[in-house]
Amino acid sequence: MTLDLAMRVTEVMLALAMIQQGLEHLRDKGRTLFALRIALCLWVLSGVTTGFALLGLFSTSLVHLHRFGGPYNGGSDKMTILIVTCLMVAQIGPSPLWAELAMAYLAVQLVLSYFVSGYVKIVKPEWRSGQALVDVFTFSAYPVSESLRGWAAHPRLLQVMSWGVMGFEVLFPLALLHPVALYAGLAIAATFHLANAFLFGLNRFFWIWICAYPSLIWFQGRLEGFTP
Amino acid sequence: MIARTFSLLMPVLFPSWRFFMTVGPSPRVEYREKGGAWRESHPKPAHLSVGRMAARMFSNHARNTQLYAVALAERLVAAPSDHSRDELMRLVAEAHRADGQLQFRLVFVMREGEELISEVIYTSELFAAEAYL
Repeated sequence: MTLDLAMRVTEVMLALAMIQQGLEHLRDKGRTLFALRIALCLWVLSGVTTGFALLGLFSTSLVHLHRFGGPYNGGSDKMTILIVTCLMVAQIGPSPLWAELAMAYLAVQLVLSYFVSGYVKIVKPEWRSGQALVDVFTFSAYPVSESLRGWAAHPRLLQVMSWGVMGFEVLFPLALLHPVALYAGLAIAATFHLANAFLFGLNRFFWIWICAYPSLIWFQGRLEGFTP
Repeated sequence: MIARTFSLLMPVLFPSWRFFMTVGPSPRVEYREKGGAWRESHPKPAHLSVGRMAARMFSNHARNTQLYAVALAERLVAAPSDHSRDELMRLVAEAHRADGQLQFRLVFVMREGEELISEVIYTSELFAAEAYL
């Protein structure tokens, strides 16, 4: 995938993901901010002078952070603003090198998002034993319905799921070794986000994380270019 | 203003990605009208079909409001601020739209050995719901 194509695909996916986020807020008191974001996303989709539209989205992101005293939707807002920032730098940076650096930064952050998340779990005895996931279902705020708390009665299954998640996350960087491994890794990652969306209601994480995948596909090809 | 912007932006541009490192005490936001009984403010449904879960991929406002309330509750206990308190008052007022005064409290559920225990960590003052609508 070329850098230009990776940037354009990311822009389109980001705009669609942010429109989805914005539409959820259009009945809220502070709907003006979200209506403005949707308008800017439509500008990005048009493909005309998208650098300015991304600058506008970055500015509204700062307002958003002030309005909600930080991220509204945790990590999904962080990834949203990170992608907006990287695309903005890529578009309005003074040379093509800036575009490469910005997209590479996004790709590295995507890899870290899986690896760090897996590492901090795998060093914890409660995650290795499956107890942490039992607690997630027993009393955390995350299950989308009360009936899902019944999963806590299956500790062996949850231990297997814990190891599946941790193993995938810490091994994810190895996907960079081959394009086929990368596509397989991204397919597993997207499935993981989809499961989180269904079980925990984290729909925005699914839509925004897959927006960063083109940057990693481009980055993996760029790394292969360095191979003799 | 600039310092505040930087403090908000830096963790976004240099994220830690330490999702679910530990499963700590979990907050529930409860509310009551003046003198009334405490009830959960943003309860989750008893059951959700797979079809409803799939539909929520595209429109999930109620659930994302619940998650925001959880984040505010954790922030209010970790680093008390007027912003977190006022936002929780707004969410409670918007959800229940009472004519009179409302109050909320934060109940944290946690594991203590084999037992689950609940503890009230924060109780707000009474506030006029209409001031937040």
